Amino acid sequence: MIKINSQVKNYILVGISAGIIIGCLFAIKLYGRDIRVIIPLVIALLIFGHSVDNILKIFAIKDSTKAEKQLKIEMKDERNTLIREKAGSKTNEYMLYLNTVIVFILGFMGAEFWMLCLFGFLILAQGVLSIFLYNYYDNRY
Amino acid sequence: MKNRLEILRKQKGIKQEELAEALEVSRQTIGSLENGRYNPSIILAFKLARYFNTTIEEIFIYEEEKNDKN
Repeated sequence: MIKINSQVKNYILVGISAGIIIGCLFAIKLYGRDIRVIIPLVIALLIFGHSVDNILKIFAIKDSTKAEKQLKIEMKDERNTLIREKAGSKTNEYMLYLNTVIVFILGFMGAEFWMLCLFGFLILAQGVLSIFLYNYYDNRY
Repeated sequence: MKNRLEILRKQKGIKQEELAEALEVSRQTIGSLENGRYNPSIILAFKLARYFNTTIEEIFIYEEEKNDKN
């Protein structure tokens, strides 16, 4: 099996996603906004953004092995890991409150039922995922 | 938890950056450790002890706190 370099993989993903974005925009121009076009467009935009971000990261540290080493240290640093985990945990907590407030606001604004269900599902999924991941790490460590 | 890290580092005549580089942690971690804002993992505590050629107890002084914020 051919092993593709991660940088080459990023370039390939940028190319493919850019192609899909152009195709989708062309399709929207011809046939109008259709859910079958919007979904691949959103996915392609996400892949495009992520791949471009990866390429830029590699370019930023390309000529500096010292900077690359420092970046690795910063990523592995236990204090930074603790800060990241705490920030993630707090973000999860605040997003839960924010989503609940949004559901109430939408409810009072007379939003459609499916929209309320969607946000309700989001809150439920967040809660279920938190419990699942807690149990997963509880068994692992 | 109190520690003697700053004293030991100054005795050795090295900067925070140099200690951080030797232990492969960020300079901020060394700063936070010295200020007592952050308690290290057992691995980092052993690394520090090995670096200063001493024991963990010689660097870190455990005190029972009434209101442990960690």
